[in-house]
Amino acid sequence: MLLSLSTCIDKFDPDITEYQDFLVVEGLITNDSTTYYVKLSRSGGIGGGGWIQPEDNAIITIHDDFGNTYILTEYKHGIYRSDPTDLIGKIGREYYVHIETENGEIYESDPLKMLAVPPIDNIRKKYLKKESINPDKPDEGFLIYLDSYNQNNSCTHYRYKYEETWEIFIHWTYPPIEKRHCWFSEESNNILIKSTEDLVDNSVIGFPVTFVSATTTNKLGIKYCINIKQYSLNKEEYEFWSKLSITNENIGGIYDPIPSSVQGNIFCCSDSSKRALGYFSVSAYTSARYFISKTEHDMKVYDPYDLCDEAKPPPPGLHYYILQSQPFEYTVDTACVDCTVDGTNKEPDYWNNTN
Amino acid sequence: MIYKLRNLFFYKVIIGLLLFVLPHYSSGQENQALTADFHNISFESFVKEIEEQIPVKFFYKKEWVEEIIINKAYSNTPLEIVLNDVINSAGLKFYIIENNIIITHKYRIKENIIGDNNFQDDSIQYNILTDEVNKKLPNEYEDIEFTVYEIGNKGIKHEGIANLSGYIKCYETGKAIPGAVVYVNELHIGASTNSDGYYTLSLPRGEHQLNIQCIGHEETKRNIRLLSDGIFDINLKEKFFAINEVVIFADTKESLNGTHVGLEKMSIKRIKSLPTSLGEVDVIKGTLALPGVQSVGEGSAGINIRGGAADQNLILMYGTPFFSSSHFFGFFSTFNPLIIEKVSLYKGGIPAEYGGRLSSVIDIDVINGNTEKLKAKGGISPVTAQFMIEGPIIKDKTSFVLASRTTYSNWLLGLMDDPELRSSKASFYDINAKITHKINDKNSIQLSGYKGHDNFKFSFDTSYAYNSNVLSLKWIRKPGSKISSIYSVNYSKYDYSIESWAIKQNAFEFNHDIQYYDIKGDIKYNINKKHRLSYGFDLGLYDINPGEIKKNYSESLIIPYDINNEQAIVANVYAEDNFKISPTLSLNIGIRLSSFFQLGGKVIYDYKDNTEKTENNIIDSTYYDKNDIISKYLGPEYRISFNYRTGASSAIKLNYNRTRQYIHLLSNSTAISPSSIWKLSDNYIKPLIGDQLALGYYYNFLNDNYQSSIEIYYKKMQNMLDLKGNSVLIMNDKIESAIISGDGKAYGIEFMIRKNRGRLNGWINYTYSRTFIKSNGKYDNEIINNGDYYSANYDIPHNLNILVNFQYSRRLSISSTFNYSSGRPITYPIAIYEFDDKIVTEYSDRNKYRIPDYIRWDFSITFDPNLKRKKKIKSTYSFSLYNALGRSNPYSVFFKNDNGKIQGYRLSIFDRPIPTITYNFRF
Repeated sequence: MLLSLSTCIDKFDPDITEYQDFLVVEGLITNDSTTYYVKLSRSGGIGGGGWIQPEDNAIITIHDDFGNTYILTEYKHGIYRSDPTDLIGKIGREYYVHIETENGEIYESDPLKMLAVPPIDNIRKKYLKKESINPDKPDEGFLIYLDSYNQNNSCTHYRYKYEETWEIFIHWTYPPIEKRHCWFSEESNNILIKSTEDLVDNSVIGFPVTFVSATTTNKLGIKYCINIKQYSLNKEEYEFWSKLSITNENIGGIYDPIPSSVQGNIFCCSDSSKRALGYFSVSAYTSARYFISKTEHDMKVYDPYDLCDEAKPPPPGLHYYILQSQPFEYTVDTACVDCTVDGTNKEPDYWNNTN
Repeated sequence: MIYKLRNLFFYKVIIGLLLFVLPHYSSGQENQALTADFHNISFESFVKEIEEQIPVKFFYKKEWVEEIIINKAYSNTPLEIVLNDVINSAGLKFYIIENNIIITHKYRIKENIIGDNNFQDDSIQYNILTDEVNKKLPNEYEDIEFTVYEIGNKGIKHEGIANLSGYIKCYETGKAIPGAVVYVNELHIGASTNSDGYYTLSLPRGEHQLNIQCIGHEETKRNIRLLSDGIFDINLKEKFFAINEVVIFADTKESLNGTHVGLEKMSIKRIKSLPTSLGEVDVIKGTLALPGVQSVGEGSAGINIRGGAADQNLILMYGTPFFSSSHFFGFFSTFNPLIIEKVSLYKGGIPAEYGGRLSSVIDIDVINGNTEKLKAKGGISPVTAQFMIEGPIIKDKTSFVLASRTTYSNWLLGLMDDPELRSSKASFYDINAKITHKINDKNSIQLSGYKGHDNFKFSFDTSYAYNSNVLSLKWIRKPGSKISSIYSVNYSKYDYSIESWAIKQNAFEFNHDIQYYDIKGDIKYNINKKHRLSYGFDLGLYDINPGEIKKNYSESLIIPYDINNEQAIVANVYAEDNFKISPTLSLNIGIRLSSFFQLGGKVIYDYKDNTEKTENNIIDSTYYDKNDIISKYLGPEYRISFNYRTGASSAIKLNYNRTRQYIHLLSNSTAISPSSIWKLSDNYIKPLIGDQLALGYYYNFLNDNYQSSIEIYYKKMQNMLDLKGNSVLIMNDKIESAIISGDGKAYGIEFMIRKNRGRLNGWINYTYSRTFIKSNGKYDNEIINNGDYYSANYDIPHNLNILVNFQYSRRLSISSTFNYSSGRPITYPIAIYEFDDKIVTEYSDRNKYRIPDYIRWDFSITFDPNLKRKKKIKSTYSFSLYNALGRSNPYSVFFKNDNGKIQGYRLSIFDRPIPTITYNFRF
C-alpha cells in the first residue's frame, strides 16, 4: 500500500548476548499401530550462541491414566522410539511423557486425552488463477480443499499435515528409461490448524489445504497425489500451535503482534526455574488420498527440464551428462538427465488406486 | 529487488505528480493599473473608486483628507503612480503592504520598521475604538501606544479594585483572538482571552500600562486610567509577512506567569513551518518537536506524553473528544490544518476543567469564520488536497467555516505496476463545519461538526472502513464583566468495520464502535483581584459496541454474533481557584470529583475464586438488566500548582495532579493498530489512576528574547493494562481473561531553550525520561518478566530536538528540525530450536532489548512569489525534505526463518530523503 512509498526491509544482525539452552521435546502419540517417536534436543542461540544439539542418553517413559508405563529406547542421536507391540494409543485415554536427562533433570508433560477424530470425507480441487508479480503471467493451478463432517462432535480442533507425490518424465531421449521416469515427494512444512468452535456445526467444510501451481511447479504434469493427515487436537494444543505459527510466521510487520515466548506442555519438575520448549502431542489420526491426472485439465504445466539445454551424451571419459549452458563452458547438472537424483523410479504401490 | 523496483516506480509517480503540481508562473506580473476620470471629487470617493477597481483597502484618518479635492484623469496608470500623485501632493504619505494602503500624516513608514514592535500606525486604530471607550484623542502624531484611555465613570470612587474586560480582535479580519495575553507588568497581573477573544482583569483603579501579546499579531501596549468597571476592546494588527511565522510563541511571559507546569502551546503557523513527510501539516505529530512528547515511530497513530500510553491523551477539537487522531494509520492527522487556530498541550498541571485521561490534554482550537467577507484557502500536496472557505452568513453576526480534505491515492494506486498494489485501495476524506452566531453582546452560540472516513482494501480479500463523527453545540454567555460561561452538548462517534471474503465459508463482516454523549458547563468567575474561580460539571454517556460479527455471504458458516454493548455514565464536577497570594506567589488549587457507573444490559462471567480468569474457570454468568449498575468507581482528582516569581524574569513552579481514566484502548501490537478495541472499565478492569508531581524552573533572558526552562516529573500509574502473550482481542467477550493489570512509573527531566524573535529563531530541547510497567499477577500467565518492572513499549530515555527557522528574506524562509531519540524497547529472539521439522524461535523477556537509535534531519523552504502584489489569489510554495540524511531509521526489528536460518531484518518506514512540494493558496 502507501507504506511501500518508501518502506524498506533490510538484513540486520542485532547484538544478542543472552543464550540459554532449553530442553526441546517433540513427541506424538496417536491411535495408529506404529512406532511413536520422541525427539530431544537443546536449543541453540541467535548469532553464534551455540547450535542445536541432540540430547542423548535420557530415560523416557510414556504413562497413561491407568498407571501403565511404557519405556522408549534411543535408536538415533536424540531420537527415542516406542515398541509398537507394547504401546498403541487408544482414543479416550490420557497420556503424558516423563523424561530424565543425562544430567539428572526431570521433565514431564501435562497429561492429554486422546480425542476421536472424524474421517476426511472429501478432498476437492478448484481451478484458481492468481495474479502474480508478473502481470502477463498469472499463476494458475488447483486449490485443494477438504471436507470432514463431524458426526459425534467430540473434536473441535484439528491439525493437518500432508504429503504430495507426483510423477515426472524427462523428455530427453538420451538417458535410459529408468532415469527418466520417476516419482517425487514433498512433505508439508507449514502449520495448518483449524478450529470449528465458532462454526454452526463442528464440520470442517472447504478448508483450503494447499495450492498446486501449474505455472511454477511440474506437479500437475502427469499425475499428482496428495495424502492429507488429520489429527485431533485438545484446545490447549491448538492454542500452542496457533501461538507458534503467530510467533514464527507473522512477526515484524508494523501491526503484527508483539512476539512472546511460546510455552508448550513440558515442565521441569526438578528445577522450576528451568524452562522446556516443545510439546508432547496426543492425537487421533486419520488420512485420505487424492489424485489429479493430466487428463483432468488443460493447463500448460511448467517443465523444469526446459531449462536444461539439449541433453547430449557425455564426452568420452566423463561420467556425468553435461548441460551446455554457454558456448564454451560446460556445467554439470545430473538432475537434468537423471530423475533419481531428486526422486525415486519405484512406482508407489498406491499409484494406480483410484480416487 | 521487486521491492526496489516498486519504490522506483512510486518515485516516478510522485515526481510526475510534483511536476504537475508545480507552479505555472505568468512571467509578466504587472502592477495593478487604474483607469479613471476624477472630477472634483472628495478623497473618500476617490478611495471608493479605487477600491472598486482594484482589490485594495485604504486606511486613513478622516480629518486629514476632508479638504482634499481631486481633479485628475488616469488611463491605465499604475496604482503607485496615482497614489504618489494624489496623496503626496496632499502632504500625506502612503505605504502599501499586501493589499492594504496605509496613509500617514507626517511620518513616512519606513520599510525596516515594519515587523518591528514599534509599528503602530495612528491612522489605523482610530476608526475602530469602540464607543464605550472614553478616548482622549491625541493631537498631531501621537502613537496610540502613548495615549491614555480613560475607562469607566469619573468621580465615583478613586480607590479599590475595578474590573476591566473586553474583546481582543484582529484588526484586519475582525475575528476574535483567543489566547491573547493582557498583562500589567508592574503588578504581575495578567489574563488571557478565552476562545471568543474575551478577557477580564481585576485591577486597582488608577493608571496602568497594559501589554498585549498574541501569536501572529503585533505586540502592543495601551495606557489606561481605570476609573470604574469598564469595557476596553483592543484590536491587534496581524503581523505582516507572516508567510512563515517568525514568532514561535509570543506569550513569552506566559511561561513565567501561568501556574501550570508542562503547558505547551503551538500556533498553527509554527506547526506549519515544520517540514513534513507527505506534504501535509500534522498538528499531532507537530507536537513531537516539544520536550516530553514521543512516538514509537513513523506510521504509528498516537503519541506518548511523559510515559503515558497513546490512549492516555485527551484529544479535543470543538471541545469534544476524538477517539481517532489520524488517517491512514498514522500518516495523516485527523485535523485539517487549514482551520486550526492553536494547539494547547498540557503535559502536567492539567486544569480541573479537563479530565478523563491520564497523561495529557491536547486542545485544538478552531477558528471562527470571518464575519466580514468571504475568504478561502487551499493546498495541494502529493497525496492530498484540501480546501476551506469562511465568511459571514449575516454580517457581523453569523459566520461559517467549511473545510474539507481528500486524497487522490486511489488514483495513484491505480497507476501501480504491481497487481497487488493496483487492486488495493486506500483513501480518506474529512469535512469540518462550524457556524458561529452572535445573539447579542452577552450571548453567542457555535455549532460545529466533523466527519472523517478512511477506506482500505488490501488486494482481493479484506477491506477496512473507519469513520469519525463529531457534533457539538456551544452556548457562550457573558452575563457580566466578572463572569463568563460556556455550556455545551457534544457527541462523538468512532467506528470501523473489517470485511473479508477470501474464503466464502469464512466470509465475515466485523464491526466495532464507540459513542460518547456529553453535556458540559464551564463557568469562570473573577471574584476579585486575588481570586479567579472556575467551576463546572460534565455528564457523559459511553456506549461501546465491543464487536459484532456477521455473515456477508450466504454460504458463510460464520455464526453471527454480537457481543453485548458496554454502557457507562461518567459524571464530574470541578472547582478551581487561581489565588494570587502576593505579587510573587500564586496558587492554583482545584479538585475534580469524578465518578463512573457501569450499566447493565450485558452478561458478566463469574470465575472460580482463586483461579486465573480463563475460559475454563468460568463457573457462572449473570445477565444484568439495562438499568442495573454493575460496578461504580468514584474518586477525587487533585490539581494543585504553585508559582513563585523569583525575579522579573524567572519563576519556580510546583505542581501535583491526579487523573483518573475509565476508558482503554486495547491493542496487541506496538502501534495503535487497525483493529484496536476500545474498552470501558468494568467490574474486573479497574480505572487507571495517575499521580504526577512536577517541578519547573523558568528563566527568560536577554530582554525576554530567550526563554529557558527545566522541568522534572515523577509519575505513578495504577491499574495499567497489559496483555497476556499472544492474546486474542477481536470478538472476545471475556476480555478480562486476556488482560493483566499492572502498575507503571515514569520519571524524567526536560530542558528547553528557545529564541522567540528575530530572523533566526528556534529551540533546542533535551529530555531524559523512563517508563516502566510491572505485571505481577497471581498466575503464571499474569506475570511478565518475573513480576519485575520492565520497559514500556514507549520507554525512550534520550530525546533531543533542535528546531531552527531562518527568515532569509520576506519571500524566502527556511526551517529545519533535527531529532535524536533512543531506540524503543523490543523483545528479541534468544534461542532457536528445531520443532516440527522447522527452526522455531524463542523470545526474550518482554522489551529487554532496544532497536537502534532514531536520527532524523528535515528541512523545508517556503517561497512566497507574490508578496506585495495585489493579486486576488495569493499562493505559496513549500519544498520540504524529510529525512534529509536518508537514514534508515528502524521502526522495527524482526526475525524470519530464511531456509532454516534465523535472519534478523530491520523495517524502516522512510529509508531515504522524501522530497515533497506543496502548493497553498488563499483568496
